[in-house]
Amino acid sequence: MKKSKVLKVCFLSFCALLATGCQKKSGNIWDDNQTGAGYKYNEQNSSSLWDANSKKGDGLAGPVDEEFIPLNEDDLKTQFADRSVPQPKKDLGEAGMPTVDEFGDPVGPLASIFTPVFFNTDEHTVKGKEYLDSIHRIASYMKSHPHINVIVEGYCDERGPEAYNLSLGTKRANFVRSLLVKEGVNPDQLHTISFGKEKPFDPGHNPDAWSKNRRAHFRIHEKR
Amino acid sequence: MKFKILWLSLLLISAATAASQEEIRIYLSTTSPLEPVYIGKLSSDSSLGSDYLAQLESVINFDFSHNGSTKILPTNHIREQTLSQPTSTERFNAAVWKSWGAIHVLKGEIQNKSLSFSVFSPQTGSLKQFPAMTLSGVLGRDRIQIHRLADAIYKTLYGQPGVASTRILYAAKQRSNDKWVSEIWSCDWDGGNPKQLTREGSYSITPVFIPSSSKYANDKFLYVSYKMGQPKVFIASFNEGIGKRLIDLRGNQLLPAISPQRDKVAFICDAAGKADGRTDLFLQQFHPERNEAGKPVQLFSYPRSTQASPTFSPDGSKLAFVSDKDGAPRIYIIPAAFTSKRPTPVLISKQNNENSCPAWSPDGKKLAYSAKTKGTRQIWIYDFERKEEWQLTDGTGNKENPSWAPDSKHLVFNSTDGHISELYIVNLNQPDVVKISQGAGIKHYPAWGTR
Repeated sequence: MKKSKVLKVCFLSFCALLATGCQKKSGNIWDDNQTGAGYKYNEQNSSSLWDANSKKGDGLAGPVDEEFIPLNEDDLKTQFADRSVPQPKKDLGEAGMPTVDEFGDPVGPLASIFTPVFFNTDEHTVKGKEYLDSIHRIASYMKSHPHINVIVEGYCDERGPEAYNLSLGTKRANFVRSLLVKEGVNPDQLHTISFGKEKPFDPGHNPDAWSKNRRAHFRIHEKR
Repeated sequence: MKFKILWLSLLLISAATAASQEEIRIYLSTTSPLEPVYIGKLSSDSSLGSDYLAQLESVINFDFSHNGSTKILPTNHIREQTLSQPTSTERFNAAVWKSWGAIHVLKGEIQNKSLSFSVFSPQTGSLKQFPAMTLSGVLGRDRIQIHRLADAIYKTLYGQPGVASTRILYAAKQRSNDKWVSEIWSCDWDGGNPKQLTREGSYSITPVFIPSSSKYANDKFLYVSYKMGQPKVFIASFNEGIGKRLIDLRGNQLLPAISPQRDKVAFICDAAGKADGRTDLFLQQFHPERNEAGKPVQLFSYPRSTQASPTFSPDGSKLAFVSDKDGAPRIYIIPAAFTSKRPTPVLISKQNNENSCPAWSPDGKKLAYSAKTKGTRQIWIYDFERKEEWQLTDGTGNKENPSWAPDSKHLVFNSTDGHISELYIVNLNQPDVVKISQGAGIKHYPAWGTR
């Protein structure tokens, strides 16, 4: 009971913040929830990022500014409602947000921070501690550099069906975005683009090429 | 007898295609016999050269070789002589043509670039003259006239509209200045007259025709473009090269479909912003002429799941779509209604594990889709009346993105061996698969136009 009260307070505070147009630096959907027992983060099995038990009594569902009509909240709850990680308020190129052409591959020291995150076949979740370290590193840099904007691009290998892979690439890119937001990155700094299997990095037709192509790739724009 | 014909056809097709790059075989659950048609060579004054005549002949020969109702008889000297006789009675002798096994005889004559066609049916003795049409001498334009004529003849003979004068949209991608560029193109049903429609120098895919209605011609199409960065749905007319944004949502929008009534759009979108990154099925009202669209509705969402490829039923009341909510991607059907209450999807594809890109036939009786079959993606058909799935294609090449012609008989799809991707057409009464795409580039995501 106490837990749901905390969550309600957090949700109302969040709404109030949005109403006043004020943005906290860390984009903290997660700040007030992290210390709660709401979910468990299990480093050994990162594929179950949000424990099923945490979804009960979750009041965070649906878009905050009603740009579309969401599914009924009761239905979402019975189907294990998940936490919200809203899309950035501005599209690329819209009022103050850089255009897509102003983003580039990370170079120099940034290249070793924003390393691609690779996926296993038919999964949208990432596995292995080294990739989580990569997420920590990226999140840490982004939190300390609030003027940076990042595009997370989702790619699939050539073996899947192309139309379905356009959607799967979206899920992969968004999942990596969720991990970063969970670490405290402001969601407005992160856009995702899915390319499915349209633009492979490695043109080869072997397992090595496939594993290189199944990735979330980062492009950066840093305001000077 | 039917099985013998089918088996022989399959053997012949296998032999004929063995030398080609890809070997696509077709299985058909039932066929009705193709009616033999004799198409005489075009007789002409000197207003058009013989090479040009040969090109026109190949257009009409294609139209009568792949319509699913006729097959053309080989030309020979004696038959040509008969069709050159001075009088109509001598040219169109019923007994003679019956003995040659022709169900219909077509003969075209050109005078001062004006082409008129006679169609003779020896069984009934009927002889019909089709109105003369003026040829321009420009192949691109004249091909369209020939296709229209072929459809007019088909309608006269079979009572149903043909598909020879319909167009196909597709995406073609190429490397340019070290990056991938993809534009939307259109072509005739035989791949002729390829025309680039978008000129945005960006990455555009998955075009969709906006159907015509009694009031409005189908002069616009939808597609997805990455020109703003994230994939968004755009609308463009066939004459402009640059599309306008259609759906005003944040995030990625993909795989649009439009109802045959042109009053709803369905698409895939991540605007709901869930932590698991899932992609949802959305539905939105749509008024192309008033340039209006209603508020989008989140139609289906499922934790950790990917949805894809919605396709409308002919009455617009249902959608078939892909979801991996139960593990591997499968095809489900859901009501396409504007309600915020979650509808229950019904599973359709049960035979194969990995299914994708369903397309609902215009007559509502079938779904065409792609399914991984012994390691290769093949085109399958789900029959709503028999409630069964059957495999249409076989052979090498991963085949995806089937799209129905308005006759619910013909399909276009793309087939790739990993290096190239080309477009093929097939119909459900003939085991012949025909490659129609031409030119450079990787061609895929075809959409067959409505009339």
